[in-house]
Amino acid sequence: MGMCLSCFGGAADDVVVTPDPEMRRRQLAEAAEKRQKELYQAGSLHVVSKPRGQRHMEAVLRNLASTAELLAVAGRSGEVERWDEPTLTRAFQWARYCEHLFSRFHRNPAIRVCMERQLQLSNQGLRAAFEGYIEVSFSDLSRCQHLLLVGLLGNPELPISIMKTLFDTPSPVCTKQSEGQDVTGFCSRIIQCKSACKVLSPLTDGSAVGADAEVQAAMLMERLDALLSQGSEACRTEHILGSVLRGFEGAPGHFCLVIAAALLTKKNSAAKSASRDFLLDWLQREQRVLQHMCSALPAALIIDLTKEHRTFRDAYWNLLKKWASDMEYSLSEGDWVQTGTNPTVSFDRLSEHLLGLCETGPSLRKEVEKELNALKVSDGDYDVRGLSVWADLLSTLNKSVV
Amino acid sequence: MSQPPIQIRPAAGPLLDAREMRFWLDKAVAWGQADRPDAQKDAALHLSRLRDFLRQILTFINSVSSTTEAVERLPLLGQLLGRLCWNPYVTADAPGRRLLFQSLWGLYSERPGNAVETKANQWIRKVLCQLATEEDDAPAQALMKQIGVAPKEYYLEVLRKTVALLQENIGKRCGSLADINQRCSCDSILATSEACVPLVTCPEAAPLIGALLQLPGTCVRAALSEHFLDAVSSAYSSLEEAVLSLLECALTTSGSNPQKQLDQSLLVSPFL
Repeated sequence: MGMCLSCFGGAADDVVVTPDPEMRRRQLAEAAEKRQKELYQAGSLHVVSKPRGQRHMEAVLRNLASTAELLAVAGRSGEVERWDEPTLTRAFQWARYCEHLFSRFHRNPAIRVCMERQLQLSNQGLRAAFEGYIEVSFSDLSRCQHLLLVGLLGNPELPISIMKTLFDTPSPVCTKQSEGQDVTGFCSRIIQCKSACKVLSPLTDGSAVGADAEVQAAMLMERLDALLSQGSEACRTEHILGSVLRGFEGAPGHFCLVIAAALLTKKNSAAKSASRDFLLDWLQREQRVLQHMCSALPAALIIDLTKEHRTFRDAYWNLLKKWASDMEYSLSEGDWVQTGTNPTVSFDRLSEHLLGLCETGPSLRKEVEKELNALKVSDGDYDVRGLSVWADLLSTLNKSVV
Repeated sequence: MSQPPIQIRPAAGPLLDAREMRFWLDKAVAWGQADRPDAQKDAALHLSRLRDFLRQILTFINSVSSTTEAVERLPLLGQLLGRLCWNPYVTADAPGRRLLFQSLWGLYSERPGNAVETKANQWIRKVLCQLATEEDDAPAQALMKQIGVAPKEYYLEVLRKTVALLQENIGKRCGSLADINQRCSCDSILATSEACVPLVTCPEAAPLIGALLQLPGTCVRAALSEHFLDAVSSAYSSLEEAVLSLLECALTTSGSNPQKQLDQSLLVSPFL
């Protein structure tokens, strides 16, 4: 796909200085719209695929600035009234080009910094020109087509003929290969996918994790892989994880499924194991998440996790010990109960956890019994129920052997 | 307030009356109630009748002089179309979706003559914008934003993964299980085939549909829904036309294995 670079005049050249802010805004907007029109009248656009030297870098940055302007015009300007199908196609080509720029350069810090600077400049100018303008950041570029679409559909001046093109439902067979390139039916395909997912998802209730959790996990790990391989600082990568966690605020159970799925995906290369190790380290520091995982996830999943990761197994065992040590014997209830404001687990449930853990292997069972015994001894080595939580847990464990 | 039965006669075809409107509106309301397991079955059952009804609606809309007239003669029209837009069984089905959107376009006024028509225009734009861009799954949306993935790619991935999971489940049918006491998953075959009724023309669902059609049918519990079989046969009404389309597909799709495409096509199973 060849897109030629069109040249266009400097930003400030077309604008006559005026003291009236509203007039100035109008002038800046008109200048941007004029540049967009020139862009389309120049015909198709070339993309510079490999920057060699200053000149090429400048061309890439101008393309970037141009796309920021395009997004502003698409979402905020009445200029779209004059758009036709070829214009729409070219607009999406520009957006795809920027997605390509992102995927090529997001791991290159030097170029990334240049692009971020350019976007900041563009944002400044466009904020002055278009009321309600939403700034575009470098990381937004990975979803450039989506941003363009949201802008267009939200623009009341968008011609109905353009909307019809986007929502057209083309012939069912052979749509697969035209997916990426065709604007006709762009929205129709999104709606079909979303609806198909909703229709099929109740059928996957039996599966351990669920399709969406698996896909989210795969995407999360891919992102972590990318960050770690480009040598990102640990705090930045943690920040991403933290933001994802916050995004799941209303659905902590689902987040636990995603983390479990992420830790259970079969990966072979060393790079992939780096992201899993990172996630495991993070999990050990985020006790709240670990607690939730161990109390909310189905037992089978927890067993899988303990079998797969030594670190998780150790963290899980430590958590069980912590839960046990928080327990006191209640005479009124005739059982061990957790003290504290948020009792998470009952004695019976704790015993189930313990049994599950021991089922992962005979050597582990021996270790657990040994440790429980040592703790029981330190408590006075009584065999009467209700005096030492460790003794009672040990006796539950021993009963299960019979 | 009960409506007197208004008889509306479009250019050709049967009557379109308020009673029928009410029937479909009630259906749409019922299907919209979340967590109703029989809603899915009901939607699959009625899909082809719904398409016929939508054709009548479209004919009616094209026969009236204005949106105002359409709304006056069928006051429930807007509500019905709106509810159907939010029903995934209707929007997943390509022919149904096409008829639904064409009905909306039919109600769009190039030059709105009054407040009703202006409002209708705004509503149509809003509904379509929401359908294509709004996200009701807040955690997924947050993740997409953080990871930098567009909804289009995300949902495509989820769909592919779901189809793969379901295909795997179908594979675990009785006869292939070592322990005869292990319960087969054939009970879910009927439900899966019903869910696939709107998906017979969805390319990503083809592997699943192919797997369903290739079941040997030895287990009494593994019954395919009749509506599913009807939908499959009507989607490919002409064998010749379908084979030619598939060949064209296989030859023009770059980087894919034509044999694999054909194998995955649902055409291979019943006919060859």
